[in-house]
Amino acid sequence: MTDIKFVQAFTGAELGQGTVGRNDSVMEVAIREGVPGIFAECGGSMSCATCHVFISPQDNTHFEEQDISEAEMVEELEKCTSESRLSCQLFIEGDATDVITIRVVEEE
Amino acid sequence: MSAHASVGTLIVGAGQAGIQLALSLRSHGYEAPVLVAGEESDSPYQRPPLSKTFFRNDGDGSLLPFRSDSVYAKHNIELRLGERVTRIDHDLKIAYCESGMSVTYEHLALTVGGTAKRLEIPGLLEGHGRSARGIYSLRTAEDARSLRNALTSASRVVVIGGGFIGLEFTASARELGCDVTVLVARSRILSRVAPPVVSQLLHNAHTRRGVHIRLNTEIRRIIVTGGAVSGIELSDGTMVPCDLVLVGIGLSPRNELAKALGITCIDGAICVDAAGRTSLDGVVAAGDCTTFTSWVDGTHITHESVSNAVDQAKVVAATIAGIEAPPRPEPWFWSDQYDLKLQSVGISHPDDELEIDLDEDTETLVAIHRRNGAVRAVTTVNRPREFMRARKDLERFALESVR
Repeated sequence: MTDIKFVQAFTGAELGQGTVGRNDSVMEVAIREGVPGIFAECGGSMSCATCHVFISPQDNTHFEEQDISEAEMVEELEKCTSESRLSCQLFIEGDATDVITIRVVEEE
Repeated sequence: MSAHASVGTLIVGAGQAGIQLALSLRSHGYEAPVLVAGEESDSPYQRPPLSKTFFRNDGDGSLLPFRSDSVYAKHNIELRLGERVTRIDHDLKIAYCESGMSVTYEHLALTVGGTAKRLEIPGLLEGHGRSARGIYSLRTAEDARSLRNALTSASRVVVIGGGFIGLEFTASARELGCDVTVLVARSRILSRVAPPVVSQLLHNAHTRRGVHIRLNTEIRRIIVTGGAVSGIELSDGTMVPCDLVLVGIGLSPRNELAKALGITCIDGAICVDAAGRTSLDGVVAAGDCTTFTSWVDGTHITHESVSNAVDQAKVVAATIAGIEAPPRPEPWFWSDQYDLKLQSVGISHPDDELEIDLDEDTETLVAIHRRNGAVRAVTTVNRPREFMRARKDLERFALESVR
């Protein structure tokens, strides 16, 4: 289990925290914990891009790599940066010992 | 639990539209009490996974809630689950519930969705009473759980209907190793909802993966052995053996309350205007239960999708809160079947001119739908970049054109 901290990407405001297990996506944790700004309009099927987050390259190494389809979706988003991921595709690989920070891009 | 509640807005139906409406009301600063009454007992959840990932072996069959329960409390949204509204007196503005609870309201929102259509064939289950084990429909979490259970011992599945729910379930069952036959009444799958090129691509994708698809098929009878379905007899005399049947032939809007109130419905769906208002003052509606007027050609449209439920709910929230709603975005849709992801945006029409970029080997497609020279919709299969761009382009188009 890995601890996650959610903050607003642009204001830094703390939005919540949770723990992610093997079959959970970061998006599911966010929904469970009521983190504002993460919607899951397509229920986590990588079809809507309403779960956009920023994650540092360091933290990103703990998750399954981004595949081409996710990249294609994310690259079309207005606020896309090199640290963008769709949180519905963030599945943990191994256990991180430090808390991972997820920066939520959209406002509620 | 009080026997009477007095609210600003009563929302009947705790699905995608109902929950979005409640949340959007609060984000518009609407402070009056909001009560959402949902018939189902599960905490409000996402329906789309129920025909897709829900059946995977590596999943645990859990539901994906829209929000955690604490979020509703935080926003002062009262949620009553397992609660059915049975009667509404709109003159007095009182709704009566099955539990005995009554609710007086200022605004009434019908976000009641629909039920899976049942097979209506004379003599369908002749000689075997009215029912047989092994026949399912798929709309609720309860349905999905029953199906998930049944699939553990099923080997020969028949899916009746060539729509998205049926095809998604087909893919799920096939991936579990079941033998699957799809029985389609019409001449192609997805005949009502997609252009022929999409039907062809997905048809081939299914048959390539071992699914049997029978088109132009009429069902005569369901064969029952020992109280459970054992086969489907077709009109041409063919017998299709099976031990599990999914009936996926469309959605019937839940219009009982609307009809009892004398609200205008077309083809069973509740008519709403661009602000989400029904023909009855003080009653709004959103989601799968509604039909709305196309801003392109004035025809009546239903768009059974998450996006329509969400966008209509947002408009209705603005209406109730007395705020002008921005023009709604073009509705969009997706379907996952095997490793194929169909994504579409806009509302297509059979008369559209199509510009097609199809690769049968990689099973990818971009189809641009034009009417009177203007792009009205884009349908893609495994082309997410083009889908995302189309969503942006259509939004720009919509903002520029007069609605």
